[in-house]
Amino acid sequence: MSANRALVARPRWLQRYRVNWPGLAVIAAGIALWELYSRTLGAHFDSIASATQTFQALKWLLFEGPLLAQLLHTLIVSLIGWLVASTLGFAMGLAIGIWRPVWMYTMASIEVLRSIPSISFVSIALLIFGFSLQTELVIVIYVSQWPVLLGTAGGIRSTPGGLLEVARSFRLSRSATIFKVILPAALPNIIVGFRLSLTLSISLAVVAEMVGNPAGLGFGIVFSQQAVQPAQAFAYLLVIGLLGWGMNFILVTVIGRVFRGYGPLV
Amino acid sequence: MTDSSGESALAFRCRALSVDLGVGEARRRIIEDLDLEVPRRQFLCILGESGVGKTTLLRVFGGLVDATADSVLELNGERVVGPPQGAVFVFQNYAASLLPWRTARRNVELGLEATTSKAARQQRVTAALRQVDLADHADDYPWQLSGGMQQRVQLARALAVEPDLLLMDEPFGALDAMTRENLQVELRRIQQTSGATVIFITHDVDEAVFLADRIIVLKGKPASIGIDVMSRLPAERDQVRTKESPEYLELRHRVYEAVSRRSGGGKE
Repeated sequence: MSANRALVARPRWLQRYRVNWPGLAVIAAGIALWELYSRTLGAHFDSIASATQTFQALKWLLFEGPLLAQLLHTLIVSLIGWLVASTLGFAMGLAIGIWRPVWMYTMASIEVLRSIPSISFVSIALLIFGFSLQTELVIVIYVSQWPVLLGTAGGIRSTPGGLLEVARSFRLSRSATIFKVILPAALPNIIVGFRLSLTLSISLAVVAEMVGNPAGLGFGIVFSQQAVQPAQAFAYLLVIGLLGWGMNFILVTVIGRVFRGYGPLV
Repeated sequence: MTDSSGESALAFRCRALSVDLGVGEARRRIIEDLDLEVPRRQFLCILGESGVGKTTLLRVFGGLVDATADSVLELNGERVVGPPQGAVFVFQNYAASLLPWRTARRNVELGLEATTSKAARQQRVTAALRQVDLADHADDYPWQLSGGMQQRVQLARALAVEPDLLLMDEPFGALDAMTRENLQVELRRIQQTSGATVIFITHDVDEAVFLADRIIVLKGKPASIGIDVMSRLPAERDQVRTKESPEYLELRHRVYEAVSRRSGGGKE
């Protein structure tokens, strides 16, 4: 009872999140092992930074180094890229899913294009746009549009026949059928597309920064590597990981709140 | 409603109705030359073995499947081309027929949104949910409701549009025996008060005999009407007394014979 009362004091949306103590314990143990290894067996490898060295480097990068500006750069580029890619992917997926001829004419090309490993486009983008922000954005958008496009088109095409018959039986108009039945039914697939696309946009932003646009976290990690600063490289790795996790966490939280009615679906 | 008085008693009729399904080589005649007239307010049960074409027939009645070009199919004196106004389905698979992202109330609203103002809609939805005894669950999502309750939501959704013709495709087939018997009683009561014409598909003889004013048995390949019998049971039914009455047993006997003669080998 008293425990319940303590919960009531927290904002309602926060009540869904409990601290995952066992999970945290594993992470803590991992860091401890890392520290132990780098001080004993790994002590003679100059290229492996210990946990404490990494955290010190992180602190330095954050307060005196360029980390904050780089983080902001990568964050903004991947967010903008993700939003543009999601909008494009959704619009194209909608057209492909709803109009059968569009599906028939485009799907073969899409299957071919999307099976080209995304990294290969980095060279093409570099050829066209040179070392620039443009290169980075084009790569991010091009690669991360696919999951949303395919999720939307596939989700629409796999709307359960039963629901379509209900829509017909109640004489719903074409637009009512799309907005009230088809799109909501496809939503779980579309959302999966958004999530995959977000992960991709962060990865591709970092990759593009490593080879195509000298800015952001990706450039930071390459720079540390070339300057033989393993602790800094490890620190960047940590920040990139946290960025991806944090953005995904925010997206999942927002989705969970907006689409509560979907219950176990999402 | 604008029919001449002679036709106003007739809700639904078909003449020389034939249905072909499949494409190319696989195209087969499923139903052949079927004549049927269903008066208003009649509760008609269509029986037949699985695969005989009951569901296809119902889908043709509801405009979801086309009959052959020379078939005549009319609801309230108007030709059926596509799902007709005033006819609505209740499907067997309630889980696949309710919109899972909508609450019970919002599901029931679906058929009214294009035609009714918000205030009038709320009233009709509340009334429909009360009719199926789900007023307390209006704000629950389908996945929070039992199978029987979900099927009642589907029934309420159909009732909310105040249909002339309810097309029910084995609606209780997936429910447990007890839920099923309760819903049979409720459906019969609702049909009596709402005055809707019901065409109800089932393969359960007892269900058909309990519910129907009239029973048709489909048989053959392609299917046509085997027998067509009227029930002499009173309008009000209950699971105990109705099933003990001689009229019930007699009708059950007749219908069972008609159904089993067909499956018993068919050589005569």
